[in-house]
Amino acid sequence: MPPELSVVLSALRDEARKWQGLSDTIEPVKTVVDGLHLAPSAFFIGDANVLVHSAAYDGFQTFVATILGGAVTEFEQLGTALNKIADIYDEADQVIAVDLNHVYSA
Amino acid sequence: MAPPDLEYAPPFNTAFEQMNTNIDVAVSKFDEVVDNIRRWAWMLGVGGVWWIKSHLDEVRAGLQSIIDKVNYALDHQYPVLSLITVSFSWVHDVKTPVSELSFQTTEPANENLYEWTGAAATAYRTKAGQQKNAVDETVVKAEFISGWLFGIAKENVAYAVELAKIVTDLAGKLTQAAIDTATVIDIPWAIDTLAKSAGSLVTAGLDNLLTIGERLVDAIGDVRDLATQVGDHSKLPGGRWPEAVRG
Repeated sequence: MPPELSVVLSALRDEARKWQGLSDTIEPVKTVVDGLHLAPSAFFIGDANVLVHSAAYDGFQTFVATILGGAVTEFEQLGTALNKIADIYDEADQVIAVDLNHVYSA
Repeated sequence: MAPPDLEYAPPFNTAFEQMNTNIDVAVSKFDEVVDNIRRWAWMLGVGGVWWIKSHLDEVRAGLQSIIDKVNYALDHQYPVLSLITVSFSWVHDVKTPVSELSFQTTEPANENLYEWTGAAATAYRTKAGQQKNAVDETVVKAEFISGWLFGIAKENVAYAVELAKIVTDLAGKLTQAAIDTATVIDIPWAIDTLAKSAGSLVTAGLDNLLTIGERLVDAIGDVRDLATQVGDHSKLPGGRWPEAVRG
C-alpha cells in the first residue's frame, strides 16, 4: 500500500529545509576562504624565490572559494527542487511521475 | 598535535627577539673593538694597524651579511606569522565545519523520506550522494593545504632559529674580542682569533640558512597547480561543485 501523501510531503519539505540550512552553514565557510589570502612575503623570511609557491597557493585558494560558492548555490537549489516536487505531488493529490528535467533545473 | 599557531609562533617569535637583541650587541661590540684598536694604534705601528684593519674588514663584511639577513627576515616576520595563522584556519575554520556537513547530506531530515519511492526519489538520492562526495573532497583539500602551509611554517621556524643562533654566537665572539682588545699586548692574538672564528661562524651559518631555504623550496615540490595535486577529481567534476540542479 502506498504511504499517505501527507507523510511524504512533510518528509520532502523537511528535506528541503535541511538543504537550505546546509547552504546557510557553508556560506560563511566560503567567506572565510575568501579571506585566507597570503602575500608573497608570507612564505619565507629568507630570500629564496617563493613566487611559484605564492602563485600556487593563490590558485588553490581561488579554487576552493569557487567550489564552496558552488556548494552554497547547489544546496539552496536542491532545497528548492524538493519543494517543487512536493508542490507537484500536493497539487496532484498523489505521488505521481514528475518531469525530472524540469524540477532539477533552476 | 598542538595547533600550528601555538606550536610554531612562540619559538618563531622568540628567535626574532634573540636576533633583535643580539644584533645590537654584535654591532656595539664591534664598535668597541674598533675603538680599542684606535686607542692603541700609535703603539701598534703602521704594519700592525694595516694587518688589523684588513682582518677587521673581513669581520665587518661578515657581520654586514648577517645584518642584511636579519633585516630581510624582520620585514617578513609578520607576513610569515599570518601564514601560520592561515594554516591553522584551513583546519579550524574550513575543514572542521565542512566535515560536519558530510553526514547530514545523506541523512534524511525526516525518517519518513524513506517512504518516498520512484524515479524522482532515486534521482534525489543519487544527487545527495554526489553532494556528499564533493563535501568529503573539500575536506581532503582543506586538510592538504593546511599541511602544505604547515611544512612551510616549519622551515621558517628552522630558519629563524638558525639565524638567531648565528647572531647570538657572533655577538658572543665580538663581546669576547671587545674584552681581549682592551689590553694592547693581546690585540694581535684577539683580532686573529676573532677573524678566524667569526669568519667560519658566518660561512657555516650562511650555508645552513641556504640549506633550509632549499629544503623549503624542495619540500613543497612542484607546486604549479596545487588544486589538482590531491584527491579524487571525479568528486568535483571539471574542478567544480557537482551540479544537483542545472543552471
